[in-house]
Amino acid sequence: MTPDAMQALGVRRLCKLAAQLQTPRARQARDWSRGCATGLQQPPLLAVEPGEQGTKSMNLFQAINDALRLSLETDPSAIIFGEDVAFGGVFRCTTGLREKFGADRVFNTPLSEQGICGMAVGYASSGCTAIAEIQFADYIYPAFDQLTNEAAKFRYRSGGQYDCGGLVVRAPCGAVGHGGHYHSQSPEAYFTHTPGLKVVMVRDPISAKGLLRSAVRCKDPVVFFEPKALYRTSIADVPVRDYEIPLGVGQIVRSGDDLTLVAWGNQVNVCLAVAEMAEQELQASCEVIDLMSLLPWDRDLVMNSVRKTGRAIVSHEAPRTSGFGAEIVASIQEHCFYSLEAPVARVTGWDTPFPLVHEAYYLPNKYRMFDSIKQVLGVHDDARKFVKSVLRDHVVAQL
Amino acid sequence: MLCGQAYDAHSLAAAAAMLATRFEWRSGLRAAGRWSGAKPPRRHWSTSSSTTTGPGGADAVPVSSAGSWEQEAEPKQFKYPGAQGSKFSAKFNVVQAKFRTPASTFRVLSEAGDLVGSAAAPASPEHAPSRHIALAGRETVSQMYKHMVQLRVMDEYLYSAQRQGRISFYMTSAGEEAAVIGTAAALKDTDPVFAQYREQGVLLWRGFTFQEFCMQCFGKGADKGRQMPVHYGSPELAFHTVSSPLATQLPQASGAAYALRLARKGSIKLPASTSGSNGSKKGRSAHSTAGPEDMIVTCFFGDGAASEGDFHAGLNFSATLGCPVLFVCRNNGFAISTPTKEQYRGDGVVMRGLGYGMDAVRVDGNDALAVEYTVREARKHIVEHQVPVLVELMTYRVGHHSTSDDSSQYREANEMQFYNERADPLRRLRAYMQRSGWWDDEQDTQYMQDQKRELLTAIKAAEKEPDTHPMTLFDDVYHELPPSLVEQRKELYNHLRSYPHVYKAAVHDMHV
Ligand SMILES: Cc1ncc(C[n+]2csc(CCOP(=O)(O)OP(=O)(O)O)c2C)c(N)n1
Ligand SMILES: [Mg+2]
Repeated sequence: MTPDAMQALGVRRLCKLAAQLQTPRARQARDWSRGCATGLQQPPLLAVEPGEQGTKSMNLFQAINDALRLSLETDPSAIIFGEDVAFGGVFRCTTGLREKFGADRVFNTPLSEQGICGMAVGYASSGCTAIAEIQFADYIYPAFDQLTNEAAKFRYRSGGQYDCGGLVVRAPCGAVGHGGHYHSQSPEAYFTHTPGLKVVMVRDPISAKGLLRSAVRCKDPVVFFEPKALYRTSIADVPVRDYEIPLGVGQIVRSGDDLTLVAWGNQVNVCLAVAEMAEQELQASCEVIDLMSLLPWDRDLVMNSVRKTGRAIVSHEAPRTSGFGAEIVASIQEHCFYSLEAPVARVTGWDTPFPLVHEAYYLPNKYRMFDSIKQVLGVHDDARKFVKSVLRDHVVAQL
Repeated sequence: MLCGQAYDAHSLAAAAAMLATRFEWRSGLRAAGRWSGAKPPRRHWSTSSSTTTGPGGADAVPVSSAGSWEQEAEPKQFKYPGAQGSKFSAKFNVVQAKFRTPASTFRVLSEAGDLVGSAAAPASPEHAPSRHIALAGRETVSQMYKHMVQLRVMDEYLYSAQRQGRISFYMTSAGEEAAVIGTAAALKDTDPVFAQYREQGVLLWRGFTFQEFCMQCFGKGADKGRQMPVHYGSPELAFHTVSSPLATQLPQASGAAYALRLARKGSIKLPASTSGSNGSKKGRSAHSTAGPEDMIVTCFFGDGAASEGDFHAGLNFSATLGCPVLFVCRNNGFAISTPTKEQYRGDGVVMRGLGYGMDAVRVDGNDALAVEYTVREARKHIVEHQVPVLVELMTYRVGHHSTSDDSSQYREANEMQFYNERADPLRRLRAYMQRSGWWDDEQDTQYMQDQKRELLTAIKAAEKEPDTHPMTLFDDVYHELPPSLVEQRKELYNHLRSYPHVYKAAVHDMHV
């Protein structure tokens, strides 16, 4: 195949790579030297100093629990409430807190989400800290009015005389394998459409602890989403100390220069997996960004990355139409139009309610992302095979 | 704020007396016989002193008149529109929640299975009709018991199926069989039902087969595997598909009942499907046709769900609009881990009916006979007067909330044991049947075995059924597939073809 033909197949980028003779290992070494881990390994966090002493292995619910404990310890006005939180919560996030801090500060409420959020608004507006739990993000809608009309506008409508900062509403979100419509949703976009709220979704125990501590201290109401699939499965060495990860700041969790993948929550983990796959199979290097905060979001981080790579895919579990990905894609074309080498793609849940038995076909898993990466890179299967063989030959020749 | 000194003994007594008399006639709690029309109630239910025409022509909603506009100089009553009929009083009457004795719980079967109280009196002309309670007879009782057994067997087996990882989730009705089956037995099989999720007994009663239950739980049912197990639905049996978000079904039930109200007046015509397509599959022939003139909507919910805003909306709407709907609260003591004492401070759920101007009855939900009787009477009342009624069934959730729950984390084992031993609705009804000579141990063992065998067959058959095809994922979002979904469907199809080794389903035979 002539270079021309390869060009015609849209594999310009891979030809360039082949020419650079980079093996995956070489690339990995370079990434390490930049201080960024590759693959699924836990990347260093903003808040965790290298070689940090005093860490403890925690899963996500334990890290959340730790942040909640710190909040109650450091802020005497802080209270935690919601459905079934007294015995530890259906996901165990509040385990042991009632025993430690008493029933006045950690308690069950009657079963009413609008009641929970309304109460949280009122308590927070009295200058105190309210940490409310909605049992599943799917059940946050009865509280929609309290959050979007009340919490979000509390400061603005009074001209800044009143506010309900010190309000955090935590809610488990996302797919879990067997949740169906009402135990799997990712409703973040409903809230990112509401000026006045801050919106967070976490991807692992370390970021969760730091973000939750920030959210609790934040001067604005925060809707805080925790992917329930990660409560037990995501495990990391979490610093024992009290630390914060600032809201509004994203993080590059894997660096690369061929393509930018933007995600949040559990989808970041899918991006890390597909980045590895792209590395192995396409010799393509993906930069993975975890936005962490969706409102406000770290636009500069994304734009700088896309200016560097010229290509981007945004991915989320929620349906595509009017998903938060749409906002990011629009901003990319606004700010990076002249750097783009391909249309910005979205890999998302389909525009259907979340199904039960067909969850595997609904989710934007790494294979669907891989398809999209190939398309964005302009890689056709035949060409990919060809280039891979060229690369292999080169590597063999080098040995 | 009210402070302690404000209450002198006299005003307390007066308040208590006032409340006592009011609740007696208003709630009908004291004598279920009121509904049988034995003794004319002090205020007639169908002929109020005046009627108003509410929105949509809710002209039969009884509203008492507050007199004419020409008030006397010092009126005893006054036209504050919000509380018509309230008299002025110079006494400081605090309507105190604390001093109310809880509403009684209607029960006709003792723990040992004997008839108690007026129910025990033989149905003879010597007894005043108001003391006579026409309880369900042998046929209905046997049917109720058999269905309760079926329900328990189904729960046992599907619960284990979940534990074995064969299905993803399950919720049992353990301890609440009489509440649900008793209600189902008193309804017409064509009455539309809006359930919460622990009312599979209604479907069972109406003829939903073990096979159909199992298919849904295995993700292969008529819902095409869309919902979690136990989220059943059957238009054929007038059973609206269960939805997990709590209490949403209450205002919906009011809406459905309002449609019945209008249809009964002849101002609209309902499609035949409203009452299910074939009544009961069991062909209870009397029930196979239904018109709006003899139809009510029934809505189930739990003690926890009753705290949601939708509960209040549902009750208030049905009362103000005169919706023929029966609200049935299964008060089983828990909402997952939250005990009822953290759910409300009032006297259960039954008293809230009064707040909305709706008659309400509290029943021992583990007494199938009492439940059946109450619902039958309530149904009659609703049909006749086109008003809602609230029934609170007192029971106890003997099982875990669901297979995702471990109730030993929040309740004592001996508490569960207590209810299991003392209040088991199956044992109570069986004792009654055996005492009546309608049933014996041998029959019982045999029946139980037969049901178990049938259920195992159903589970195995469901397991063997093919999975729903993933391409059906895009169906039913809208009436017609919009272009965006046609496109996404194609995208998924192409994707599946490129990765046959990753996905379970074969797509080669799919036409997209
Ligand atoms: C709106 C909403 N909030 C929370 C939940 C989670 N949830 C499911 S069942 C349940 C408890 C319901 O208790 P109750 O109404 O008493 O019914 P029971 O389970 O006792 O039959 C809760 C909190 C839900 N399904 N929907
Ligand atoms: Mg309950």
